[in-house]
Formats: sequence, structure tokens, C-alpha cells
Amino acid sequence: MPDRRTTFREDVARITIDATKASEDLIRRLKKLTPEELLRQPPRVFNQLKLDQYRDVVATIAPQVRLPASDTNEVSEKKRRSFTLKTWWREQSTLAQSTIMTIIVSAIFSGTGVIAPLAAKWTLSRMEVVRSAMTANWPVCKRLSEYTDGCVYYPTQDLNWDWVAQKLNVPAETLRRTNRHLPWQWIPANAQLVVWRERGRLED
Amino acid sequence: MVQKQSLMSSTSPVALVVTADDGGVGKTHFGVQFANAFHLYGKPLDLYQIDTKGKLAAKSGQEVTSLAVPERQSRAEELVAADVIAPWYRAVTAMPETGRSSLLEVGGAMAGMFHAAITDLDLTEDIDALQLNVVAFVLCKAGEDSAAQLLRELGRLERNMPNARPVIVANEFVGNPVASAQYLDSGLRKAFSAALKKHPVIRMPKMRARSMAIYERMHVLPSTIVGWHLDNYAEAIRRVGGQRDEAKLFVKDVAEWSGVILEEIERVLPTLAGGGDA
Repeated sequence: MPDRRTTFREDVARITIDATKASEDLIRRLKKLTPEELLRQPPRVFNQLKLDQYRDVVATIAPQVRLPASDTNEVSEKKRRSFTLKTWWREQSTLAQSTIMTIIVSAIFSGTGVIAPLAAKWTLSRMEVVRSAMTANWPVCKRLSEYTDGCVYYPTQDLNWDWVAQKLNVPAETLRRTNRHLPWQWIPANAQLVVWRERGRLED
Repeated sequence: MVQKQSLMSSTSPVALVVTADDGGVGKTHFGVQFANAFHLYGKPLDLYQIDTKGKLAAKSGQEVTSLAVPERQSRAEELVAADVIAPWYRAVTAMPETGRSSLLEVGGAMAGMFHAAITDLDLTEDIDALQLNVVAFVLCKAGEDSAAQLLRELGRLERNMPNARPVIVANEFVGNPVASAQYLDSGLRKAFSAALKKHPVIRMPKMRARSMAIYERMHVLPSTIVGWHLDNYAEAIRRVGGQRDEAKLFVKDVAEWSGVILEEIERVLPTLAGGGDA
């Protein structure tokens, strides 16, 4: 003889099956009605329907009727993910939130420290100086500095090679090699001094 | 995890405390479900309540010992909380000899007195000395007040009865308390989430309002109502006093509701099924 618990379990299962069948029968019956007949049903009939069942019945007998979206409509995956993340974050303790934020901020600063110089170098390398092979078309250097490149300078007085090399921050020998047309001892006034650091590109 | 889920380590009797520090959260319904579960497993369960309304007796149709708070004739007459719960205390401490489990429903307004009484009686010492199995079910519903009251009650249990094992019962009749916790105020939400992680949680699903209203005037155990399908719902139709479809829906709702709660109870008291005499 089955015990009470087993009997109860079987009864619950049986009742659930009976109720499901009765519900299906009711829906089948309601779907055969006209919209007017459906509206004339007593409230107890609608009490037996779940929201999705009611929507199913209405969609069948009056497809032109658009019911407002229910709360159970699918939420987009993106929204759900964002909601889950927010919930997860809000459930963390203040200590956990502080630790996570510290790690994230540290990672951002560390990343910036490593990436920024590399990015700057890469960007600046793209700003290449391009000059024609003939210096006649080169621009005139406005001043002599460590940033001066790809231009010609006309001194107003005789200058010392070492002094000019120091101003340009290049070895004097390199400067002399670029300007073989000038005297070895000094740079005469009004002579054409070519400033070319050989970092750019010469084209025909 | 197993430790967290299984609260009955043997087939020994268990003392169940159903409390909430709040009214209207379903303590009586939950108590009736326990009476139903023990009835189904053929285990003896003595019912007690500290409540002036006597709802547990009315709703379960079972014999319930009411631990009434005596009316004081004057302010000078002292109320001794321990005296009020003494019958339940004696039943609990005698469990090893009697083999009978007991359930105490603590009325919402009586939680303070219950804690005062168990502190006076030093129930904690008895639990250790007699190796009693005491499980406290703390009910809550969705909402800020209920969450705060749950935390307060859990705190009191941890202080006054640290060797009892609390279980959170999430009553879903006004929404799912666990899911809606995300809308609580920050501090409360974190404490509530921590409590949910710390203690086992069982759910008490919602029943249709119409069926619940009918159920509340039946005054019988849910298993009795479920059994009404056997006579082709004749008794249900007679008792509900309406149409056949309404009676069937009512029986179905009670069956589904009770079935879920019974499974939840079995989950936290898995050995309830062991050693029954039914």
C-alpha cells in the first residue's frame, strides 16, 4: 500500500495533468468563438487563463487586435547582460568594489604609461621630412635649433662649425660632411648651409 | 554546500521555529505546510503558537497548543516570558525521549518576547547539552521593510540561539524577495544578499488570490484538499460552493502550491522521509 507521501505526489501529478487538459480544452473551445462571443464570456472563464493563453486566444480569433506587449516579452541579450552586470556589481561589498576599481584604474594608468610613448613614437615617425634632391627648392631655416631639419640657412656673418653644430645638436663632422661645398675652417657669411639630419627622405 | 542544505543530520526529531518579526508574511501558511509534510510522512509533530489570534489552529484544522500571554491585572504584575513558552520548551527538551518533533509559530508581535524567553531559559545550552536539532525558519516577503525585519530577526537568532540553524523562507506572494532585492537601498541590499548566501533559502510560491481566499476558509490540510479530486471533485464543488471549473482550479492551485513547498521542505529536511511509521 503506497504511503501518504507517494499518494500525495501522485495526486498532485494527476491533478496537474487534468488541469492542463482542461485548460487546453477551454482554449480550444474559446478559439472557436467569434470576438463578440469571447467578450460575452463570464469573468470566471478569463480567470482560468494565464496571460499568454489569453493572448493566444485573441491572436487566433481577432488577429487584427494588437495587445500591448507584456512584461514577459523577451529582453534583448545586451540589456539582460548589462542588467546582470549591474546587479552583480551592486551586490559586491564596498571593499570588493574599491579593490576592483583600484585594479582597473591601475591597469589603465599602467597601460597608458606603456602605450603612450609607443604611440607617440609611431605617430611622429609618420611625420617624415621629404625634400627634393636639389637644395635650391628647400625652405630657409628661420633659426638654428635641435629641431631644425630639411632647410638651408644663410648666416649673416662668418660662423664657427662647432658653434653651429652645438646649436643644431649634431656632430660637427656630420654637419661638415653634409656641407662639403663650404670651407673646412669656418662657415662664411651668406653661404648656403644645408641642415639635413638624414632622418627624412630625398626624392627626385 | 551539503552542510548548508541538509539541516536534519539524522532521523531524530526536530524543533521547528517559524518566525518573522513581522506580520502578514505567511508564517501560518508555512506552518500548515509543515503540518502537512509531517502528516504525509507519518511523523508526529506537536504544534504550538505564540499568537493571540489562533490562526494556525484555524487554518490547519489541527490541534495547536496556544501559548497565550496572560492578561496582567496590574502594571506591578510582572510578565515572565519564560513562563509563556515553557510548554514548548519542555516539549523541545524532551524530544530525545519522546521522539516527537515540534513546531512553534511565533506571532509577529511576539518575536521580542520569544527571544527574551529563550535567553532566560538559555536554550542554547540545552541545544548543545541534549544535542537538539533546532531549525528556525525566518520568513520574508518582497520589500524593504520585510528585508530589514528578516535581517533583524536573523541577527537576534544568531545572538540568542547561535547553535540553531536558520533557514530563510522567501514568500513570493507579493513578488520574489530574492529577485527584487536588487531594488533595495545599497546598505540593506548588501546585507540581505550576504544573508541569502549565508543561509539556505527556500521559496514559497504565490497562489492565485482567488484560490488563496478560498483556501483560507477551508481549515484543512492541503493534502486533504488535494485528495478531493478522488471523488471527481464533488467535495471540492460542495465546499467551494461554486462551479465545477472553479473547484477544479482551486484544487489544482492548492496541489501545485503545496507540491512546491513540500519539495522545498524536503530539500532542507531531507531525512524527513526516513524512519516514518506511515
